[in-house]
Amino acid sequence: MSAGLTTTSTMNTSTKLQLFLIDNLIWVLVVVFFLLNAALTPRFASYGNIVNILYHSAIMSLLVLAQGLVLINGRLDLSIESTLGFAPGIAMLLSMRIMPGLVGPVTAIFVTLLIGAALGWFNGVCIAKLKINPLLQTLATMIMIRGILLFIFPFSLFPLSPVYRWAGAGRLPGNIPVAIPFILIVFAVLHVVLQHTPFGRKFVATGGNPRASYVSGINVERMTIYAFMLAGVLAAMSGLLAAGRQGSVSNAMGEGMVLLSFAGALMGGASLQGGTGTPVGMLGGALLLGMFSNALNLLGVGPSLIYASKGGLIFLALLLDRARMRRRSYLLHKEQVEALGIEGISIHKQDEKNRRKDT
Amino acid sequence: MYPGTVALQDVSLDVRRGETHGIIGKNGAGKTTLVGIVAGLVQPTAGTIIINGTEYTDLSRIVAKKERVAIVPQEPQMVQDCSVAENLFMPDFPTRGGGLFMDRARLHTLAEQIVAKGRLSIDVRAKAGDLGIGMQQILLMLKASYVERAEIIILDEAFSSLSKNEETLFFEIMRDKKAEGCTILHISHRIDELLEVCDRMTVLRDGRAVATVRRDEVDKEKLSALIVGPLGLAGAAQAAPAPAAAAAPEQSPAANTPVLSVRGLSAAESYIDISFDVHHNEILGIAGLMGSGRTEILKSIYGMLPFDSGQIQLHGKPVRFSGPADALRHKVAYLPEDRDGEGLIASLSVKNNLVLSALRRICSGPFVSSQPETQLAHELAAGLELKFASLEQEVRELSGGNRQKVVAAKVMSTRPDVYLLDEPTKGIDIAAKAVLLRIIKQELAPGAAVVLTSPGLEELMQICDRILILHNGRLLGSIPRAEFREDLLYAAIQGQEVPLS
Repeated sequence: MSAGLTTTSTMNTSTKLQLFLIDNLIWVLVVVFFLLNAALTPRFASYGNIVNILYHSAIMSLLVLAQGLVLINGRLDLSIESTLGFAPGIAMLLSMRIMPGLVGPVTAIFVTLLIGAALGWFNGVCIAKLKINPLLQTLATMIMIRGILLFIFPFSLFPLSPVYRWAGAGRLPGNIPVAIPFILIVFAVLHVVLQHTPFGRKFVATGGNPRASYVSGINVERMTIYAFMLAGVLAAMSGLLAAGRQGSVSNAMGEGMVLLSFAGALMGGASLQGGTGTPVGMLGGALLLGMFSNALNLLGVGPSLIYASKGGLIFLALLLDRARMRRRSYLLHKEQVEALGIEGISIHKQDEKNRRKDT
Repeated sequence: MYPGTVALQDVSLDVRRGETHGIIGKNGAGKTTLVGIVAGLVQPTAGTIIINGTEYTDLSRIVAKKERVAIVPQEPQMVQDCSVAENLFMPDFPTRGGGLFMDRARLHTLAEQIVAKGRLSIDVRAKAGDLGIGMQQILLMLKASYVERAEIIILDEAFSSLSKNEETLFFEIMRDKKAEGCTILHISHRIDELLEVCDRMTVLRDGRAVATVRRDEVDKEKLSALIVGPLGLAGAAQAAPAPAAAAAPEQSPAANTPVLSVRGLSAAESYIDISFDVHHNEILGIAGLMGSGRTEILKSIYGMLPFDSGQIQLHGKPVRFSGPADALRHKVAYLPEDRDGEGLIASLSVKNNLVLSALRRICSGPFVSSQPETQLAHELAAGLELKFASLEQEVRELSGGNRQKVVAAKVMSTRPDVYLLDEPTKGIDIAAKAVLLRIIKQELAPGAAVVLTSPGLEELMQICDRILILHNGRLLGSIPRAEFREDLLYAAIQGQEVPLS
């Protein structure tokens, strides 16, 4: 190895540990919050309640992942909350009223996901090819499909077939809801895809700097379309779980959930600038939101105040994120100064100040 | 301006009241930094500025404005959605009601008077964004002249975006101001322009003021000689490092089919009828001023910009790339001039940036496997003598020179047959520049054809086998290595008639 070239292995352990904790801050928060509540909140740490937290976080966590993927791509998607209602709604309408012979419950599951993919494709094409602003495009889709849903569903549709309900309401041995392993698998698969496949690398790079990615030979339009299609499919999955859990489909499913999906994704490491965040981080974000409302619930706080507190939590997370980025950049800079043998800590203290001004 | 470099060193300059004083020098000579200091945009590390007898160690923009110093920048900065009149008076609008409300009627009357002084016939209510860049530039000159009533006006390459007609209009405003006793500092790298408008001019070279001359003392040739310096006049043999010069004959390009050949390439408003060949093992330089079409030509070849007519041949077969992905598939790689905008993904780690264009090579099955990935990243980094603390650190933490090396390494990782290198040495320090040039010469050229542009002629002269002269989108000639002379090249890229082969 040539001179002046150092690798992570030469970093001292304290710096490495700090960097590890900084990069996984959301999970540090999840653990701290859990331990704190386990000590203070009655019944919080029971097996039943932990399963309960995971179960109740499942639907939101898929929506967080959907939003997170679009954010990594450098865009945003408001329409996922409408897709959550629309996809299972249409699938069940086909299965139970329009063509019950043709669309059985298993086919209905595929139809649900397909509708999600189609809506995502529509958003993606309009945004990538026609260059429509993502905020406006997905706002239009959100209102459009919610409107259609309200039109064709002035009623709730139930009872749903147990097969269709299995993912959302089924239980495994040990009374574990099917939804929990279900979302864990989804998160794991997407985490591996994003971190360890060429597609994932290109996907993240596109979000970081579309122009440079294009020059590097990446088909950035296709990456954007995939991002929205993935978001659509995940939102539809989320709808599948929601429909299964409540045993019916209705026109209000998912309403108001999109804002919290941003919260979870941003807490999990995504940024509005794109190019950052991992599915595992976002799972942490979703769990923190879930634990938070669960803890307040157990403490007897009313739903309105829980909602308000969630806002406060998001704000705190954003503040923490700024501090995190500063600390990270300081550590790496210090490491670099030491590695290159540049004189004087005073220089990088000064530098650090300037950096703060920049960001 | 660029960390780790000295932009200006011990420059003394006196400008007399009422004179038009030119400042000329090559790219990187320190022109913009010098006037930045006078205008209060850049803080000097040492030295003083004396304006009308008042001495300043550094000047803030506000103090400079109080001393009636105005600057007309290279890129006009106007608020595109505001009207011409609003832009002219921003931020000191005429007001009524004790300063509470903008007095629109008076604003428009005053603006109309000012526009009339510039002999323009434009509607002051029109949006600034609807005017051409040149017209916006003229309006900024009018603003400096008649709204800020500056006594010292700095023109920072203000002519580079003007058309012929606009130039005439601009000259007339300068003449009016001169008659009023206004002092003008005029920066340019165009010799003709300077000789036309300036009384005296100061030549900067490598951050030092080498001479101040009166217009009647010099002609084009003398001025070019001053700008490039004695080293430039000495010719290629001395300017180039010895090993490269010695190696030149045996490395002479093969006489067979060119790897890349361009025939009659034209794109409206960028370049016309461009033809050249590049062979295996050859470095072809394209020399031209900013705006001469260098970047556009390379981007058109790479498929990023469309062209209207002409043909590109790769290994003798006509090609037309639909975009970068297509070009890379055909083993043509492009290093963008805009390092941070088009070269790097700031939020990703050094490692992820390095391997981004070579992901297929480090895969096993459907996955990127981490050991070959780290190995490739290390190889690339070592090859370019890249300095970093960790492969996992984000690329934005690196210095400019190291960021440039990351972009270069990424381009190299694709192992292309043709390298299109657009200003690879832009904005980096001398040490990094030397490393990059050496790598282009020793590592890239032996296996490929290289097309290179650069803002500085020395760099091209150091490593190129041939230099094409580009002026206003036309190729004026091709100069083989044996005939490199910096003064002639400098004159040639200005569009002057010089004996070219």
